[in-house]
Amino acid sequence: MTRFASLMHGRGAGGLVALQSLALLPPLGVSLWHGGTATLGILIAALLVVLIWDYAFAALRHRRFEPHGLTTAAIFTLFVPADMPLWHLVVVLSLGCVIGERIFGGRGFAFLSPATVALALALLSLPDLTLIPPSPALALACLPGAALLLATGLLSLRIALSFLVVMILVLGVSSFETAIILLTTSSVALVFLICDPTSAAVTSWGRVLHGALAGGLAWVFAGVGDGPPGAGALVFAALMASLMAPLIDHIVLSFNAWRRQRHHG
Amino acid sequence: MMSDPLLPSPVPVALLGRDYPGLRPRAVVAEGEVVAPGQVLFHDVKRPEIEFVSPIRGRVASIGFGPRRTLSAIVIEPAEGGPASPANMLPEGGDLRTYLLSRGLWPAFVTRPYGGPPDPEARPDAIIVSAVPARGSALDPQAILSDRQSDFADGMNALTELTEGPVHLCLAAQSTIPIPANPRIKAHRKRFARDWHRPGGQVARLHPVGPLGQVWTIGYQDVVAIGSIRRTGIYDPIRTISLHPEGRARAQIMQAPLGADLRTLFAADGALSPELEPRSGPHGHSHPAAYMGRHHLDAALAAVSAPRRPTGPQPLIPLTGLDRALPAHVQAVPLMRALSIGDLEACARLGCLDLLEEDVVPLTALCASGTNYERCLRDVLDQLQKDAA
Repeated sequence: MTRFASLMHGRGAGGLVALQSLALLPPLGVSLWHGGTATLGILIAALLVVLIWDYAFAALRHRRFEPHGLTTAAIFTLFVPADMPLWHLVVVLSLGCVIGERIFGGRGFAFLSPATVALALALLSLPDLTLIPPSPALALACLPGAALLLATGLLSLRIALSFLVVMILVLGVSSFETAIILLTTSSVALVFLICDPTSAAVTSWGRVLHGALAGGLAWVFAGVGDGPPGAGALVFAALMASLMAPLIDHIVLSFNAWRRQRHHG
Repeated sequence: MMSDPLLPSPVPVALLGRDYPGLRPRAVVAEGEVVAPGQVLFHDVKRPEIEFVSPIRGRVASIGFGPRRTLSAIVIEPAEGGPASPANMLPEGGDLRTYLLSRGLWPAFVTRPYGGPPDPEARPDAIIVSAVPARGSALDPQAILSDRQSDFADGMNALTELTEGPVHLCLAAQSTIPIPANPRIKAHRKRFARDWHRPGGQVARLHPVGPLGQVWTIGYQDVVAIGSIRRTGIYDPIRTISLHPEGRARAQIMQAPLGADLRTLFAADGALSPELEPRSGPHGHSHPAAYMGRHHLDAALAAVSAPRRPTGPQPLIPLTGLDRALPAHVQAVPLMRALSIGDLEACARLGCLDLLEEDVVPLTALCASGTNYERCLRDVLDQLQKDAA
């Protein structure tokens, strides 16, 4: 705990971005292995876009340049198809970076995850776009990163578990195979979008409610069916849950304050 | 001349302003004067009934002031001579409160909210005695109390005279410390409460402080000192403490006076080196210090820590570990946000009145923003206290 404390202490969002980038390396490797040069092209274009915005805002605000967009580009690459037109990528990723994060002051000051915003904007404005669902290999590659983020306190077990419990309940998962399918489809979105610490609820019960809300919304957005939610439904669920996170925290804190007041009479 | 209580090897001591926030001392001794253990050194300007006494026989080496004539530190170096130690007993039917105030045992209490010694005429809703070893501490309260059981029982019974409310005795789950037979003394054991080993967690669980409430906390060795002064009339400044030099598996348990010079203690142990600095306080809640804190029983020798100074404003990253650092009912991230912007109303609503600086030390260590939450909490508590008055 103390070792880790010195790792994060006073580093701002740098420590978060470094650890998340490390967690993203294995799934990114799998994605590149599958997609080949086309995916590599998407990754390079996405990195260029986010780094240009990071640099532009650092220069305009007279701050040190910090490549916080690395994780945004990596998560974006994991979801979008390799044949996405370049100008689509530039527009949605720019909007995601700027209105999802940079105008609020950068990573850690915003209340949404820029990757979620970019993906949601892509889905809303590009009707032909279908996000690619994670393959079993990609889902498996998320595990070491999830373990790292869990150990360093950047992934809340409360959110992840309550999301999965709600999913299991609403989908009526009973067999081992369907559970594996659920874990595979929700892997990347759960670890890197829904559980993103900067855009999730921060109170203990708030985290439980946040995960449950994301699970319920994913089910609704997927059409209230029996099948596991697609990548699009998960992205919208993550976005809506993030938007609701401050309200959830407010409700939890009001309840706590009410209970405290009642205790003191 | 009364003989001094049996002292371990002589060691310089200090009374530190850090332990008494906002205290402005009026010294009754001068620099260079030789004082006896238990002799009054100074009292509080605002509350002159509260007397502070010397833990050892020695020469007053320096009286240091901080901002606005608050106490910085009074250092006493061991020396021979000086007057006899005061040894007046509490007269039959005398007022215990006045006795403790005049004999220097009042500062053993810490009030919540706001910290520091309680007001001389205050009556707390409850007194909480902590006999739970700090996490990672080598001290075993049961062993320490085993040969001082009657003093401990006397001290516990004395505490019931200071409050109309209960006196809570917090024990480790497996503890078999005998509990004095007094209906007002309530013993508590908690096995699975992760915040049970800290006064902050004990207050939060047994008697959370409202805006109008007041709870005092005191350590088990201070309760023994109260029992002992009632029996003998002699002030007992000796505490059993544990020293944890970095990289050594075994802690050293020794007897030392209150406020002992940590470098001298560690040097005697042969553990001192230039890369290491002494820290006072329980593991995870300690701070670099030259002298042992008034309410501390643990000290460590750890690598020198230089705080990282971030450039420009840095965000707060809501790590899950932040919640584990605080008493269970306090939500860390909202409190940290409220503290860092000095939002008094929100801080009070989030339970900051239950907390003192030492409780939020881990937040400073864990937070990516580099904010000093101890200082923020002290400012907020001072302001809330001023508003409440």
